[in-house]
Amino acid sequence: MALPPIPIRTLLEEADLVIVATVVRVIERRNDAPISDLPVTYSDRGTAAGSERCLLQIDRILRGVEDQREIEVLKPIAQYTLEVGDHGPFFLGTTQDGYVLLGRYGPTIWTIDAVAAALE
Amino acid sequence: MFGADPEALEQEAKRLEIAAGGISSIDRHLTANLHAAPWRGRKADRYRANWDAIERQRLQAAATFLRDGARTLRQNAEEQRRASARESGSISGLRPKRQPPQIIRETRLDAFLESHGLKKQQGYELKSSSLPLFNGIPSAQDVKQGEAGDCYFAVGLASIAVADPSLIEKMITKNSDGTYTVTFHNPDGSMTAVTVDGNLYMNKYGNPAYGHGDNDQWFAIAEKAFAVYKGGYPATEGGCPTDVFSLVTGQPAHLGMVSDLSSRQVWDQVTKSIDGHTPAAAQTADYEGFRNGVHGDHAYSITGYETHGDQKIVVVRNPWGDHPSPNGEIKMPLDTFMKAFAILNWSE
Repeated sequence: MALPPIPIRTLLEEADLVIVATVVRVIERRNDAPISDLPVTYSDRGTAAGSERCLLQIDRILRGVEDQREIEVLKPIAQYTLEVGDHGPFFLGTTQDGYVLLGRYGPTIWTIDAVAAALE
Repeated sequence: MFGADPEALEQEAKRLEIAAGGISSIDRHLTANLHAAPWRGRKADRYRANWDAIERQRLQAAATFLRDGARTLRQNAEEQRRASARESGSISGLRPKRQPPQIIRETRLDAFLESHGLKKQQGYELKSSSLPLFNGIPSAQDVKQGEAGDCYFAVGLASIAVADPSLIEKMITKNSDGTYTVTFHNPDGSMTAVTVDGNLYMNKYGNPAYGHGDNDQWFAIAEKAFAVYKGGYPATEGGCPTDVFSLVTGQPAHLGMVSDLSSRQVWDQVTKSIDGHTPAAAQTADYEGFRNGVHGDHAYSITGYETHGDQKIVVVRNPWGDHPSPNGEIKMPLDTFMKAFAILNWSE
């Protein structure tokens, strides 16, 4: 489903950690996304990619605190897939199982400059 | 009765296209899963190579067979229409006579949601808006998709606003009691008038939760009425711009698989729609994320075209309204358009 991206300011309200990072490893990719039964000539059928566990290498912390240079994160079922080498700003929330990525799309949806400007 | 029912042929053609699309979708899912599966070694390599070289080709051939069948049915429907028009001696033979407009449902969204047990999303509040229904002539820029998965509806209305803004103005009437009545054309030729008030859902940050415009609220009101028409905002998720064209204009609308069309046919249809002031749109295929600058499982309005020497440019607009450019528009060379989009929609 191609909903509009969540605005930066809304993501900042929800995020515990905001970083610029690079995906260095996809640890696990699950086949847990629901499959739509709507006709394929429809748009907004609800297409999504399964959840992933990835290792991010932190290049810069824009907000929050994290001592580790590499962190494991959960990318929930969402409308994008993370690949090794993907780079950009990430908004992270925390759960009892660790970090979870926020937002509907990957790190290319907002530029680093736009996120930095929203933080000022 | 001699000949065929063109509407029935069109319906069958649509079913074949849907089935073909289903096979293509299965092909993509199976191929992606097979290549991502944690299976290594010579056997795995051999199986994957065989899949790519033989099994996939069979699936694709089956999809092509169905699409060819759909094209044949459409051609037959068109020939039947032409024959009927000749027999009746007028173009009115093309369409069944429309029933007189009648209000078959009139309700308010709040009461409707209550009676259907649909809970408001947590943190959403209904608030009145101070924006006018129209602020000048309706335009595509008044359309911004919100939290409902109804990009096709946003695209349909934005495309109509580009083609003929008066259709938008005719669709929505402001009543003396402050409510609005939105009229839709049903597929059977009847009409449905839905009356809603001007209260709109705001999220916990005070922003419009669903579709909206920055300077007026005609799109928000139309979408609210559409939610009533369909049975709630969640029921609006998933659809086709073609259906919205007919819902608003009452005219026949068509879709074609881009893979079945030549770039010349696509260009001819785009220029014909824009020059003829009839709505057009395009839909991407069923994938996650961005390719060729457009998002998968999404629809875009076709808002214009340009030529620069030999180069042909199609202008499309994302219903998000402000992505990837501030006005949502993307100027795309025709060859990129052919790769980026799977389905072309247009109305008569």
